[in-house]
Amino acid sequence: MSKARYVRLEKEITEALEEKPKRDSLYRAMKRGRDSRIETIEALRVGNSFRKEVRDIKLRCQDCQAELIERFTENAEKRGTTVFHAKDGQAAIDYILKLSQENDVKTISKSKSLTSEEIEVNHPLEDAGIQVIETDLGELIIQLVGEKPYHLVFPSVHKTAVEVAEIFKKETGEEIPSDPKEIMKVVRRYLRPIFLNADIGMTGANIGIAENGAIAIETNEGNARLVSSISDIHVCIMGIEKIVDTVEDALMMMLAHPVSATGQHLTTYVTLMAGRSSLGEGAEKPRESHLVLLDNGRTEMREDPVLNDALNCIRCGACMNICPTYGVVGGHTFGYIYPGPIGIPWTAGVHGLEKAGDFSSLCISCGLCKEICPADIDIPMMIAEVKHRDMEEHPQPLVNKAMMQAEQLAKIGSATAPLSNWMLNNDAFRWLLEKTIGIDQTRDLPSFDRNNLRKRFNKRNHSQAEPKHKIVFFADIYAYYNAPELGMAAIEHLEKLGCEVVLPEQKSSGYPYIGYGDLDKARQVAQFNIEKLMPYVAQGYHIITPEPTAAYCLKKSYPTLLSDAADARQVADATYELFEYLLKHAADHLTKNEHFAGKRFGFHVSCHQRPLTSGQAAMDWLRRQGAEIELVETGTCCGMGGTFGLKAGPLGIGLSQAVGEPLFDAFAKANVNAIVTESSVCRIQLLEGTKLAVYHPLELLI
Amino acid sequence: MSSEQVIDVFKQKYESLAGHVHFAESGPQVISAIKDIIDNVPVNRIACAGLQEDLQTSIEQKLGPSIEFIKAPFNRSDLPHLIDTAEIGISYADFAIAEAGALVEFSTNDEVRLVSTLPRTHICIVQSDQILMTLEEAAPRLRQAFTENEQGCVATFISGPSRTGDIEMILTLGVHGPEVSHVIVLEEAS
Ligand code: SF4
Ligand code: SF4
Repeated sequence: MSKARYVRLEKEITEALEEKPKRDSLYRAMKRGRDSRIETIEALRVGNSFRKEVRDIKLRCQDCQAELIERFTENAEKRGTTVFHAKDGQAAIDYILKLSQENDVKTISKSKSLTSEEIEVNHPLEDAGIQVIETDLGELIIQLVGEKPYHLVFPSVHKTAVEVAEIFKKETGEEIPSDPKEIMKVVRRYLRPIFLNADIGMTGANIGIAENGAIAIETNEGNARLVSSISDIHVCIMGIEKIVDTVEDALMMMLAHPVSATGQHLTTYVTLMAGRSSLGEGAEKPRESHLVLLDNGRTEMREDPVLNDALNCIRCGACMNICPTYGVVGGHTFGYIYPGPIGIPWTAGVHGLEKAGDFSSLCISCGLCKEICPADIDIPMMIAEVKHRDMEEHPQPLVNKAMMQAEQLAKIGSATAPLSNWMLNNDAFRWLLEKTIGIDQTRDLPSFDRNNLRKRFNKRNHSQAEPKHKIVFFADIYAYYNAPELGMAAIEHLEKLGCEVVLPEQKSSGYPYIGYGDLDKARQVAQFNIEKLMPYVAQGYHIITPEPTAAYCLKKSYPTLLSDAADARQVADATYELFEYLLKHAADHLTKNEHFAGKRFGFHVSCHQRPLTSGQAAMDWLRRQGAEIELVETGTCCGMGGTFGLKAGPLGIGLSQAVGEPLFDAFAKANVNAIVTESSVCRIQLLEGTKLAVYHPLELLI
Repeated sequence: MSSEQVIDVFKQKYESLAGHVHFAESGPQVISAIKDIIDNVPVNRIACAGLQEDLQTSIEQKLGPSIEFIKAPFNRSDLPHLIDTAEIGISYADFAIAEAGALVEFSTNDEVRLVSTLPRTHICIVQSDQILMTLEEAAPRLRQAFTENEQGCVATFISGPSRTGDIEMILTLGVHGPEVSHVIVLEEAS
């Protein structure tokens, strides 16, 4: 079973890798979504702080959800709406089927509704002889070819104009040029009679408002306006998590959704509908409004200590616009019905763990989806939890297990250097390593140093009378076993600032455990490190680490893993990225270094740095010493994903390098002499992908 | 922020969303603005909804009889098809939101929604003193409208013409709703 899952993924990734034009168009669409989002947020009065407001509203409303559902229902019913509480998809389908049969319904016009996709309502209706027609253009396209949405907001983003023209030609028999404007005219003509004559108009809803029983439906095309106004029967399917308390809450959602999805201030049409209005005068019978409130696993999700965060999703699709691996393989591979990052926990919640596990290994734990999410949902941690639960049924492949043992392997590598290094450079051994464990033989792995950081640290001669600051150095693997000279350089820089530096017993950050989903081990490592670090923090020490992922772990992951325990929080608060600290305490003493004259460097920000300093401190630190540094980025990941890119095959180096392509291109265009990055793993990827030299900022000064 | 500034923000934003903005200081100027717009469109039939009666009457007097006007009360049995035969819809927005470039239309009869959605060109009239700066300011008005109308009530935010990017993310207007959207800002005290 597990094997079949990987076979499918590898096959689909391989296909995606071969389809460069499709990949490029998906990449452009995602980039455009990201760029417009940033532009709009910069222009917003509230700026990025709307995310906090959205999260607060969602948390507050999820907390009293049962009461909100009750009040919403009561208020909607007062307005003549029939509210049906559907415990699952089948109940919802049965209700709609019965309603259709009672009213002798022949045609249903439908406006985009992911919730109706979730329960796959179209098939049973069609089986009952009812014609169901999607009216959102993207949805209609995929309906006509029998596919599932490729993207939450742009379901047919993978189809070119030529393909779309062909699809409508087949449907209408008309000759259609492959120009979107011309296609649109045909679509308008094709759909108009469907809107005008449908017996039921079926929509989803983006928001329910408890205060007055209204629903909000957002569309840019305006199809929901027609669907919800023309037919005498309106059916709306809405997940219970969409209900907010007040009109003010709803306005915030109305803003957050399009800003995050497409960078629009508001969706072109937002219909706030409470009850059913009449149409003209002298109708034979009153018009009906039916609201199907869908649970389908949501109440259970709310009880789930980890997956409940998924209920805060407002379905904006922003996480899809930034996810590096989704950007290569698209929503059919990276998704079940719900695509993209949030698709993993949502699938686990409503369609079951097995289906979520089928694609959760595509997540490389870069953490970017959390940073872009308007509700600040910890999607990566939920994905780790899905992988963790899935491990019981489906043991991890050997290579993942090996990657999780990265520190133990580094320890052996360092202890047995130079033999280990000779082996790493030996083709036969690397071939064997690929065949037996699955580490790609072409990857240039960093060599080990027998004289590790601990040995060097203990040997050095240093005494600090009356230290100005007290520092715990948290090295992580690379600066400990592979490049201890770098670790020492960092320590010396700190000591020069008058710091007392200690190197207590520590394990590496353990992030691979999170990435591959062994959360028990991840918690053990977190607990171990917190126990070792906490006594120092209690004495006023600061923790400094040169590795972005380690800083991310200490500041972000550990508190989450350890349920926000007080000591984990204190350790997080005391942790700084190396350059953040150096800059803070040495900014005024930095002098120009002639070493830099005439050179231009391109800076790469590692994903885990984005919620921290975003590399600004390191760049500033170098610039103050005269370095010419340009930030080169695509807004997403280099593709390495920690150790993911070291793995052999499509679900490893193949996918990893495809993710990196746009960034490699950006570096090629940036006209720089070398690359600077703080991350030891991004370094491997950039070195291979760009053929430029890659340095850690400290190396430039060694 | 002065009301001129608010109107200016609205104009800029609405135009950035591919809408057209006109100004009128009186009923007759509204009519001449409409006349300018329809001079460029072949039009046989105009659907109207929610306009003040005197304005409606003078529009008809000035622009008829070569153009047929259809307006409330509509007969249920003629709908929705009748409105679909109009090339232009003229309706009224209760207020607007400058920073979003959005018009807000209240309706208790869906004929209003059809007038602002089905025809290819939509002309919307809004009072200049009903343009609010921010989205938040809409809350009390929405609350009031929903409280006053105990049965069916719809508030629609409309920010320019119907748009889609579903084919190769290329912006295309008028896929279902209006392809051309005009707003006439009436700068007369209400
Ligand atoms: S953590 Fe990164 S790779 Fe994983 S789902 Fe989020 S964006 Fe995608
Ligand atoms: S998880 Fe966040 S970013 Fe993704 S669709 Fe939901 S709200 Fe948007």
